[in-house]
Amino acid sequence: MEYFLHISIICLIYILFSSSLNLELGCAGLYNFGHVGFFAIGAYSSTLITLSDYPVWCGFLSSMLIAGAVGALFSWPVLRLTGDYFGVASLAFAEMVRLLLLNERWLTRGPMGIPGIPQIEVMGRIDNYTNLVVALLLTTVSLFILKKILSSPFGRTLKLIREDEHVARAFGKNVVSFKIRTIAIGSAFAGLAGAFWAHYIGYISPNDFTLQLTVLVLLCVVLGGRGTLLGPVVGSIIVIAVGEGLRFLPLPASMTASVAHIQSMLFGLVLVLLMLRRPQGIIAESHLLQET
Amino acid sequence: MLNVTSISKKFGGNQVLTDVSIKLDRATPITGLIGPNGSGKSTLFQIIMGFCSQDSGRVEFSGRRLDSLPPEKRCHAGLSLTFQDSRMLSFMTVEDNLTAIPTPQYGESLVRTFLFPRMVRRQEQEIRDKASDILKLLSLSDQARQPAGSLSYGQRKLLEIGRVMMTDPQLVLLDEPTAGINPTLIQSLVNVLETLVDKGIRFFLVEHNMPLVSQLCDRVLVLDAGELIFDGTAADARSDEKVVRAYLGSDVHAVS
Repeated sequence: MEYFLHISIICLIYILFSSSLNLELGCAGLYNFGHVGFFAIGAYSSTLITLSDYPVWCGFLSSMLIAGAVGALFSWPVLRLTGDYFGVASLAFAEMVRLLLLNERWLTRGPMGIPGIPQIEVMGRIDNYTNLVVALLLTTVSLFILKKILSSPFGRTLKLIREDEHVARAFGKNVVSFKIRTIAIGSAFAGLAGAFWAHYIGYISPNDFTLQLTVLVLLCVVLGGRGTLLGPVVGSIIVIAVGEGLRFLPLPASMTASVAHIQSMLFGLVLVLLMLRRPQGIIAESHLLQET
Repeated sequence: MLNVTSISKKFGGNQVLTDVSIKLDRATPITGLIGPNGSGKSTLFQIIMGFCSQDSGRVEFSGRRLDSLPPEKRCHAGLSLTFQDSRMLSFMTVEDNLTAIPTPQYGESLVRTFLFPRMVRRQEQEIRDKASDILKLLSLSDQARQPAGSLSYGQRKLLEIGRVMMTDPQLVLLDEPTAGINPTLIQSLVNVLETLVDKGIRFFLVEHNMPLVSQLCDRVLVLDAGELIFDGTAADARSDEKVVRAYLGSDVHAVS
C-alpha cells in the first residue's frame, strides 16, 4: 500500500511538473529544455525557507514566487533568441543552476545536499496519506488554474504565437511580453512541483536536477499530447507506470542493477519513435478540435 | 497616409531595392504594386511592416516615423499585412483564427481573466459575434469549428482577409491575395475588398493577376529589379514602354 501511495504521489508531482512545461512547450511553442532548473529553484527555495522555521505552505508560496521571478528574469534576455537558440540557452540555464547549487556550499551544502527537510504536516498528521491529499489538492488547483489560462483569450493568443509568430506580430501582439508571462507562470508551477517534491522526499542535492529529469518530463508532455490539458496527465501516468513496471520484469540477477539504464534507454527510444510516428502524442490537439 | 522615402535594401551582394519612394494617400482606395518575380515587392512590404529593416530611407505613416517600431507597434498605428504564402493557424479552429486577432483583449491580461471574468466574457462575446458575422460574409460559417488546416487554399486566403477584418486598420498591405485561388473565390474576395473600401479601409495590393489589378486599382506602381519604373493608371501601365519591357513582355497584346 505504501508503495502504491508513493507512486501516486510521484505521479501527481510529475503531472504538475509536466503540465507547467506543457504551458510553455505545448501552448506557446517554447522549447524550454531548462525547465528542471526551475524545479530545482523551487525545491531549494522552499527547503531553505522552511529550514528557517517558516511553515511549509510559506515555502510553497515562496518557491512559486522565486521560480516565477527567476523565470521572468531568465526569459527577458533569452527570448531575444528564437527556435533552437532558445532551447540551447535554456539548457545552459539549467546547467548553470545546477552548478550554482553545487558550488555555493554556504547556502546549499553543495554536493552533500540538504537532508532533514521538514515534512508536510496537516492537523498534526505526517504520513503518506497526508502527502497524497496535499499533492492531489495542489495538482488539482494548479490544473484548474492552467485550464482557465488555456481557455482564456491569453491561452488563445499563446496558440496564435505558437502557430505563427509573424502573424501574431503583424496583428499587434507583443510576442515577447506573452512569452515572458508564460515562462514566469510555467516556472512558478515547476517551482511548486519542486518544492512539494523536496518536502516529500526529505533530501535534495544538485545531482537530482539533471538533464535526465528534463527529458523525462518532456516525454510526459510529448507522449500525452502537447497543448492539451489532459495530455501531460496521461503522459505522466504512462511514463511513471512503465518506469515502475520495469522493476517487476523477470530480469536475471546480473541485470537488475541496469534497470535504471534500461529505463533511460527505453524512454529515449519512445521519444524518438513518437517523433517519427505520432508527434502529436496520444491526445492530439487537432482531434480535440474536430470533436468540438 | 503612407510615405516611403528613398528605401534601399541589399541582401548580401544582391541589391533588392534601390532608392524606392512611394506616397499613398487616402483618396486612392486600392493602389496596385506589380512587377516581375524578384523585383522586390514583398521585400518592400516586409520593410513597411517592420519584419525587415531597410539599409537606408524611411517609412512614415500618418505623419509618424515607423523605422524604429517593431511590427506589432506598426499594427497599432493602423497598418496590417496579409502574407504571400497562406499562413494558417492550422491547429486552431477557423473561428479562433479570427477571435485571436483583435488587440488588446481584456482576457489577454491574466489579472482581468481571474479578477474580472464578467468583463472578459462580455468582450469575448462581442468578438465572437463579430467573427461570426465575418465568417458569414466569407461563407465559412459551416467550417467555424473545424481546424483551419482543413480549409482549401482559396478558403485560407479568404480567412486571411477575415483576420484583417477583425482589426480596424487604415491601410492593409495585401501580398498576392488571389494567388492559386479559383475565379469564384476571387470574386468573393473582390466583393469583400469593396465592402472594406466602403468602410474606409485602404489597400496596397501586390498582385500578378493583371485583369484584377486593372479592375480594382486606380493607381498602379511598377517595380523592376528593385527600382520604381512607373507610377500611373493601369491603362497607362499597359502602354508604358518600360513596363512592357520589364514586366508585360515585348508582345503587349499577348498579356492584355
